[in-house]
Amino acid sequence: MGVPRAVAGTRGNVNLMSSIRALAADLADRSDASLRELFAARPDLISPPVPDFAALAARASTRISVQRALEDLPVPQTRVLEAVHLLADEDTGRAVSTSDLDPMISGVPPEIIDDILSTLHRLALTFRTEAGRFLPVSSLKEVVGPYPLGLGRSYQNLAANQPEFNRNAVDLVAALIEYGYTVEPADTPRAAADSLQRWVSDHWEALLAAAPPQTNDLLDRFRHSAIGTVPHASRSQENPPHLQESGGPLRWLLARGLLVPLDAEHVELPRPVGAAARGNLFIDHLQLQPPVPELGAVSAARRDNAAYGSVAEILRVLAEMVSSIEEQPVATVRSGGVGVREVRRLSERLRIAEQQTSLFLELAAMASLTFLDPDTSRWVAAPLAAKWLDSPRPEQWAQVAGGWLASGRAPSLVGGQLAGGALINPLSADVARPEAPAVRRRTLEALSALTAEYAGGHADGKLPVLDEESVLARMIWHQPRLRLRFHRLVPGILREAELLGLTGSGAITDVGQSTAGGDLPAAVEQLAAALPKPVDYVLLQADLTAVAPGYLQPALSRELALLSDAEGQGPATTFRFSASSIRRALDAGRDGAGILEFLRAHSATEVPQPLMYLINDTASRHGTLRIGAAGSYLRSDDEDALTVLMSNDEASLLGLRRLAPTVVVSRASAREVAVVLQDLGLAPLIENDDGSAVSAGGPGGTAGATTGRGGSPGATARADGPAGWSKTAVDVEDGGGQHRFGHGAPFSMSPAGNAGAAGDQDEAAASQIATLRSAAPERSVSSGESGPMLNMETLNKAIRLKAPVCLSIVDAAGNHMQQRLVPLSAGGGRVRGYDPGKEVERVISIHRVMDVEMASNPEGR
Amino acid sequence: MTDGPLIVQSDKTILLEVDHEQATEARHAIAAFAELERAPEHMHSYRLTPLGLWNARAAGLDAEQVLDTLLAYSRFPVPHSLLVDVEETMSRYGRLWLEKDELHGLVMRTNDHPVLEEVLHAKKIEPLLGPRIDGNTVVVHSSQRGQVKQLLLKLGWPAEDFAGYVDGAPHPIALDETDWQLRPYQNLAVENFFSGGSGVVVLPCGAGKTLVGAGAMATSGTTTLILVTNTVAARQWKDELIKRTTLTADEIGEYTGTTKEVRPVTIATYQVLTRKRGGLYPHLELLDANDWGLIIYDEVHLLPAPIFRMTADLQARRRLGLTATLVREDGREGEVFSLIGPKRYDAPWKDIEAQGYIAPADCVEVRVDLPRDERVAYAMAEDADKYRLCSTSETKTSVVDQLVASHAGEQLLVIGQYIDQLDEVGDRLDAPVIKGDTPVKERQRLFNEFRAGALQTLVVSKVANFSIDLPEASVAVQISGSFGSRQEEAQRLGRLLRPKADGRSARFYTIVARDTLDQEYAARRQRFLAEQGYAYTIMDSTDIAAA
Repeated sequence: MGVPRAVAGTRGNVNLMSSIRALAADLADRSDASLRELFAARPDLISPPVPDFAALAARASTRISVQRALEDLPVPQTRVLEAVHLLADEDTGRAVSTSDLDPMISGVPPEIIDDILSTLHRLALTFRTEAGRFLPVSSLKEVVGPYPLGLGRSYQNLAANQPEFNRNAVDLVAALIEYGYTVEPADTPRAAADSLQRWVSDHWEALLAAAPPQTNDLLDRFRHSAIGTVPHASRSQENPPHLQESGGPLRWLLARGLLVPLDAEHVELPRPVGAAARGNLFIDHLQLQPPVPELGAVSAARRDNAAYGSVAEILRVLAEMVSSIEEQPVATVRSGGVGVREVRRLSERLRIAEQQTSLFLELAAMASLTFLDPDTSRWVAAPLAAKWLDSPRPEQWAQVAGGWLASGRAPSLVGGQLAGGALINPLSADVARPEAPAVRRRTLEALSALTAEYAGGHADGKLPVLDEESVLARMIWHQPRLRLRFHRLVPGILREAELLGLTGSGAITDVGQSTAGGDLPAAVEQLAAALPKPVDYVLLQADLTAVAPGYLQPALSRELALLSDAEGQGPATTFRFSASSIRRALDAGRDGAGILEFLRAHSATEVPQPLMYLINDTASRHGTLRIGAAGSYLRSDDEDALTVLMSNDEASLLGLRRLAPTVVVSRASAREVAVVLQDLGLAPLIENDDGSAVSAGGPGGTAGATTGRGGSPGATARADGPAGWSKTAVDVEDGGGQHRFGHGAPFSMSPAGNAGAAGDQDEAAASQIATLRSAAPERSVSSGESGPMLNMETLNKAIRLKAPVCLSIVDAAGNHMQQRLVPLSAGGGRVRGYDPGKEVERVISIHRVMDVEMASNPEGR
Repeated sequence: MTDGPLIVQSDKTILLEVDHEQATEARHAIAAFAELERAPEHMHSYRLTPLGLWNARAAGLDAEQVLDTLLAYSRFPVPHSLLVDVEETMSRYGRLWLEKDELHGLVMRTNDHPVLEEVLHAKKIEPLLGPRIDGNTVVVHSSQRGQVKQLLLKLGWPAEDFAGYVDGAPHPIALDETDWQLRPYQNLAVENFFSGGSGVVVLPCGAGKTLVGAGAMATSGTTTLILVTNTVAARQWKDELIKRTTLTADEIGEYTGTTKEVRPVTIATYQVLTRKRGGLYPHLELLDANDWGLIIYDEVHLLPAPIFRMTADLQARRRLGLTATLVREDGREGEVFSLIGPKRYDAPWKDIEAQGYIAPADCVEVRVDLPRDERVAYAMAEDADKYRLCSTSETKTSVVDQLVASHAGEQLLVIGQYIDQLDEVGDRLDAPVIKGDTPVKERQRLFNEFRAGALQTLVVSKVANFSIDLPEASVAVQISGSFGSRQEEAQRLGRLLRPKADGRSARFYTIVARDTLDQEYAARRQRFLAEQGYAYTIMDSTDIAAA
């Protein structure tokens, strides 16, 4: 075998060889193509790149990596892997082959088991010990957990981890012997566990034969789970079951230790009992193919109607919401998220249900249209929002859909209950689910796959309605380990997909297909073709309304919203003009003629005479009273004197403005004006509120005259109209959606980008293989990444086997030393062990341990 | 999506673009299940309501047809939730029905067991029901037929009534079609009504509802009770029946405040039936005075509440409701539906208008400026007096003079709310004034003279304007107040005013004082008029000479 020297090791048999070392050897032995396949399936193995095969094997053995790999396994592989885990024994080196598995799996031909085994091997979840025999990687047991295939824990495990069983095991064995069963005597819990194990395995048939009726029925209930709930367990604790009694099957099993109580209500069926009860047939039904559901059907027209109607609707509501947030940010509550009062306010404003409002708040945030202003703790409109509002609808949609796909939040959880009973607020941290983007992708893939299968079988042009149950069943078959997550997230995702038009009436749309394929630009194009073009005109009617017969260009819509009040919910908006709405527009700087001109330009019909009257009447009354700020006034019956004063340079410093022939105002205060006028040789009088004169003060006799000169005098409250108007009109004409915006969401918009990413991955795999192949063979395996893991693995193994190890330690002074030790436990950064040389117990910090090797000969024992 | 004329909104309104080439088709298609709400010049709006959908079911339409219509004519995608809602709502109609069982009498049956269970467990319905016969059938006390239907509708499970009707005492009635003919749509309305049993016929004002009633009576050939809104209307019914049918004056009885005659055909007012004395309704006996084969309710949308209660007990008699609109200002459309019956016929107004049977009038609002002293008086007045002050401005009287002068030779009405003002106008125009204290006889005389053309100008107060039918008037000038409720106003305009023979359309002037409460009220009324499809314009009083 072409195993590199350093990896092959020199010492010990394969039984004692570390599983990481063995996996490294196995990996090094593979072809480049097979490695490339592995890296494609488990990209985390080479990200970041690893220096050598040992490091690769170490990483492939980490719990997190194995967990990730398992999450991607479909039902058959998962079940077989669990079976492999059950049968294999790493410590004894007992590897598993097809012939071991075959009798334990019913109804599956050996070739398929062969196939599955080699798939698991290719994924580096197992390594080959000899031809056709495999051992699982060491961390698999942690990932699979204590109940593989629904079988319980072994007696040994129970003795070690279940204190009550640990206390009772020895007595139990003694009682069984006394009763007449052929159980080997034991004096420690561990020995008791061993003898119970052998007893069950060897005498099951005979045991069962003597069991009370219905014992088989009871055992059958443990077929899929080793833990059971028993209603009267507490009673059986006060009144422990006896071997002699002739109770029901439950007490009979409990009395013999064939069922182990866990707590007041739960019992566990130990593994040998479960295995024997199943006749050592671990997997009685292996679903090799994904489930094919019965699906309803819908026509493409009905589907598109629902989907595109929904897209138009959510974009309309979102736009309204964003505009509303631009005006009035959304306050948050101290417990996090947006409180119920704010939600209610928005709901009323948008005329939608509160639950909808929560969802739209989340969607707006996902699309980066709003963000939480850290200074005010309020959600405000993002700078991007204004651009978004003016974008064509397909692009608006892309922003929303892209944000949704990439978001690590699950809006469907809003309104659910927290552990304390409080309700989950929208935009609170409780809605964060980092796995959400992956689950969304999987959901879309499942939708796409199910549709493709169905379309093959039906020629009537109808499309399958993908209900929640079918989608979940399919997804769970592909990734059984994600079952709970799917159950939690998928229903909400399907509802949101329906809203976003990815599905319509439950069937996936063309837009949805493109999105599922990762091709958002294609989806945008399809949407652009499907959504009606925006209209650029309204119909004006004599009941003082303007009806937009469709989606209105955003700029036009905004201007109309200023001139009138929008009504109605749906694709068309009715704008109602009233004196107060026209007044609002006039206040904003429009004028009557401009409003009429605007309406004429954008109406498909004549401006009705009553509307014209309304606008002209309102405009003519608008501004008949005018307000401005002034510091003081000057009045004089002598108009000429005022004219002279206005033209005086000195006086111009006062910021004089003539309001009427006999009235002038100044920005400066009355006293100041008086001083300046006196300087000019005039004799002003200062008036009281009632018009009576007070002294103008002697020359220089007035202190406190503040300056305040400079700046432009005469600002009035009224904004200047016509300029502002014409600018807007230009905006309207050009506002046809030429604006583009950047995509804030970290979702790749281009298929080219995706292809590029795929190319990068290939390249990374190639360069990784080159590195691996060129790694210096004499490089120490315990260096770098693999070192600590290898050490821990070796230590743990030594602890299990109670075998001595040789530790290379660096002391505080930096000196190397060797320490021979029988390790007892490792954890909390320390290893505790027995030093056989000095016959003392020692504790060593793990970070001082540079290398661990199994001592070749256990003489230290 | 198609380029259709409809826009279906998620708030359950449907907009119809009138100028679209498919507009007429679409209007016909949706009229069966949606109620016309507003009809301004370009975009009409309809509303989908449960009652409208159930009416459609009663007319034999199913949900699939409704959805297909919406999808076929809609310009944009139809909100999915709305489609689902329509389907759900329509499926509720007819799951329960009332019928006669040979053995058990009146029973309620269902083909959907859980629905019956739900209904049986409703507290209010339980006492009205008799014993359960089998899983899907329960006995209904026959006296509670109306109540049960009413409550079922409230629960959202409207029942169909197949229990049939009593025949009633036969009385030969025939139409006397010597110089006129029942119009095609009137014929259709009568046919639909009879095939449906009981129900409501919706026809626009002026489209001849009385004749539909006469047609129904002729088809029924039984004694008939006609319930109308007031005495004047009762007279008109009587006159019309004598003119159009073989009935003679002796066969028709009036049962009003003044006369109490019970004859084979009896016309009673709502008012007299609902008159209460000592906690009792003494005139209710009328309902049992004869074995009526047909009961006609005129102006169903004005039916007072006590009449509903009485009607609940009359479920075994054939009932015909006549109205221009199913929309009631008090929201009791459901009671009309359950107690009188579903809509049996509805002619879109525009169709009848297009056929030349009715025509809307031109409405003109004339704005007058208050003179300076009146403006000041108005500004200083207490709120309670403001409206009277601005409505009775002196300038208005002179405007009336000008208008009357410009329409010389035409039949003209002046309508107002304030008696002083009307008396003044009457004096200036030298025209008789009809007001509250004018005796009925005198009113009749003046109306007749006006109809005959002997009298060209008539001044009427608000109290006198109930149910006047003066198709000869071509110009009306409203000087103050509003002409009945908004709804009445719009409806009566069509009845009151006819286009002139030379094709000039009728005119309805409203004189309004600018910048006052008067104008504010006028604006609300205008909105309603515009929504009803009346073209209206605004005019300055100084422009009258030019007009």
